[in-house]
Amino acid sequence: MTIRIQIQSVLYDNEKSGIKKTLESVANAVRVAKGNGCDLKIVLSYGDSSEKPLYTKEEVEAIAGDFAADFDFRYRFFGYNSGSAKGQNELAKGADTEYIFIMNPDVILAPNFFEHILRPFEDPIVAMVEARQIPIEHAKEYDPETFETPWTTGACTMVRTEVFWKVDYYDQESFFMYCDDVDLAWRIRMKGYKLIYQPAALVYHAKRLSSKGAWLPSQAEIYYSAQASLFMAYKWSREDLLEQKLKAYRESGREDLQEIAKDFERRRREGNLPEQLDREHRIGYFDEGRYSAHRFII
Amino acid sequence: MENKKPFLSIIMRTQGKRPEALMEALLCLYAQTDMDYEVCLMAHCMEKKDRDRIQKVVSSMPSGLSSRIRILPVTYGGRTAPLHEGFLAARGNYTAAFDDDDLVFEHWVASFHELAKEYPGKILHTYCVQQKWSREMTPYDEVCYTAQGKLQKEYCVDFEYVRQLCVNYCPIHSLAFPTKLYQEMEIRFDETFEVTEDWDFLMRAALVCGVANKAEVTSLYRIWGNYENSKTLNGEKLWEENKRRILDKLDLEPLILPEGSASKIVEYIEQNPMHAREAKNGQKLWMQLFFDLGNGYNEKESIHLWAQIEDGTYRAKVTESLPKKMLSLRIDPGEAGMLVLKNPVVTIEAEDGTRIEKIVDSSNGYTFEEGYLFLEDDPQLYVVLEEVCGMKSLEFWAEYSYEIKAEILDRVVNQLAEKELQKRKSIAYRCKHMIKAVLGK
Repeated sequence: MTIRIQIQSVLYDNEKSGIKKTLESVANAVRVAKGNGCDLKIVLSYGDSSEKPLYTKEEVEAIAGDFAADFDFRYRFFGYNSGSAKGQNELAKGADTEYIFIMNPDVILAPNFFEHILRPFEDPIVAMVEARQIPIEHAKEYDPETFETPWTTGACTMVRTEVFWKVDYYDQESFFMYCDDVDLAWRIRMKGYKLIYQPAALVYHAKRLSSKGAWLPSQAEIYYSAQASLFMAYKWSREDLLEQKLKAYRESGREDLQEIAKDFERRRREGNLPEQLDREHRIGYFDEGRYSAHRFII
Repeated sequence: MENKKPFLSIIMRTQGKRPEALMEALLCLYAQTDMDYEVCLMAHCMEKKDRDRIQKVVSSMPSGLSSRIRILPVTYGGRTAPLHEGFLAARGNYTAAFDDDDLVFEHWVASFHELAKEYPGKILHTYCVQQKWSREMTPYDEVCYTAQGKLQKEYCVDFEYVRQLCVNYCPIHSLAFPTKLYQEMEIRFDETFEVTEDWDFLMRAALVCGVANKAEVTSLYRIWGNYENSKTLNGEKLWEENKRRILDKLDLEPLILPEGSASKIVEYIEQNPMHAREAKNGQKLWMQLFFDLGNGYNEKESIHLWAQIEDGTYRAKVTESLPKKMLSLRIDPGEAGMLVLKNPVVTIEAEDGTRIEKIVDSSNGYTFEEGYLFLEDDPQLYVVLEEVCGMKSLEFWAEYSYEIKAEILDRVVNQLAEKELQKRKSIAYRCKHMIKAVLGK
């Protein structure tokens, strides 16, 4: 039976050489899977959020031609900066496959990726499966017996398309980048589905550390994570945390955080906030900026 | 590929026992932003089924990588043999070793390349982080590896010859060597080393061509928790013996040290807190904890960590590498004696969140009301912990001073005098009874 998967990424001023490597790794993984008897049909769909299109029409045709035997290549220039949540939603809306693999554009697939990422879906209650990233693995806790995990990262997660539709995709009104994946995973769990961490499914995801070996978040990561954390606290019914954060942002002396707090309060006044969920706190988990227990702190 | 000499030859040792790890290592190489390299995959002493397995892994990689890989069988020797053969077979200007159980970041080759342009002919060194990993089976019976600990940053330091004599801060995949050094100048790995062959080689090679550093983390050294590698397989004792051998070899000849070494030597002797007679406020002291798991105190069941000296207090906390349960704990707060520790206490946080405070039971120093006086070097304190289970963290705290006040000495002297008096009284008492017994007969 043919298994149909749409792989989708949102581009934003990425290096073409890096994207080429990703494309080659996908093609290679498809060939290895087919060589092992796995009947796959892959669509690789890029949404381009850059100011100017990364690819010309001719280049898109050339890529599609080069990889025609391995996947169906689709490229769409959005013409605006969609952010990750909205961009991924736009791409998912056109999907005609059973599964969608949501990944960052700088992810490189291991040759045996497909045979491993698909295994947990044999259980119909499993809605999302997250691959393992190297060289820096995500530190999220998972059940050592079942490998069940409380949320899956949007950097490399496969989701059942029908479940993605059922929960109405990412919440693009609340999240531009960051935490959109946590929110989606928690909503899927609210529907009774399970999420699985599958460390045998391997991807390389580029990371840089400081010279002292510390995490190096980008400016965008700092800004949008701070913004998203307010929406997470509100949406998942943790008003206590929300007020603490708002106060901390207001008193931080940092213009960016003050601007985030102001913007949130404006939306609250306008009644432009998402519906609150999980009043009994059965799903949501908040611990010093983390949304699950971690096995270790990087 | 065959006609062009690559910048870097990557020597990867493999025994074919862990094809999943080999795939991870190769995926890291495929992800490199600078592809100016070749890979010599040294198939070391392996059976046909293992050779077939690694061939399958190589063939499964994208052609952009597999076309760069030469599989070279090595049918003799220990760990050093495949390194030696690989360094001889290297076609690149530089040669680096990257074992099949470690990981590198995507700018690993690029960083070496940039350094080589700036410092041609030198050994190239970049930073490395360490992390605990373990081998697991998924619920679907697949082998996988997962990270189990935070990133450790001890190897995020420049190569300094004097410091490097004490500890190897440069794992082999944090280095690239000029190929000529090996092939033309014939500075070779010493094949009599079972482990630390890279450390020995680096110390000799660095004297010839020097080392250029780049403060950039480009690799990850995996410390295997439940799976064998050279360190776990061979044990700490062998590593210590090999360190002695490296030093013995270097001791045979005069050393010409790199520029700046004179000041470094003085700095290490005067400021290395391990040997400091007096630790200053804000300074850190290198201390050691021994866990008695039923085998007595030994190096293998011990950990080193930094203690913080702050406002007359000594504090050290450990949250990792703690055994679930131990009979007792030995605390070595430093090497130097002439030290006073008052009100020492061990605080343990159990996995269920409960906190237990334990006072120190005894020491190899002198006891006075509020604490312990250590006149000799190698101070030690002992705490019985039989009833404590499932430790999450362990903290040692004490008031700390090098100022030995006369009143403390007086009290200790009085105690000693009292002990001596008791001892003499006891002897006199026993003599009296013996005499009485004899006379009585």
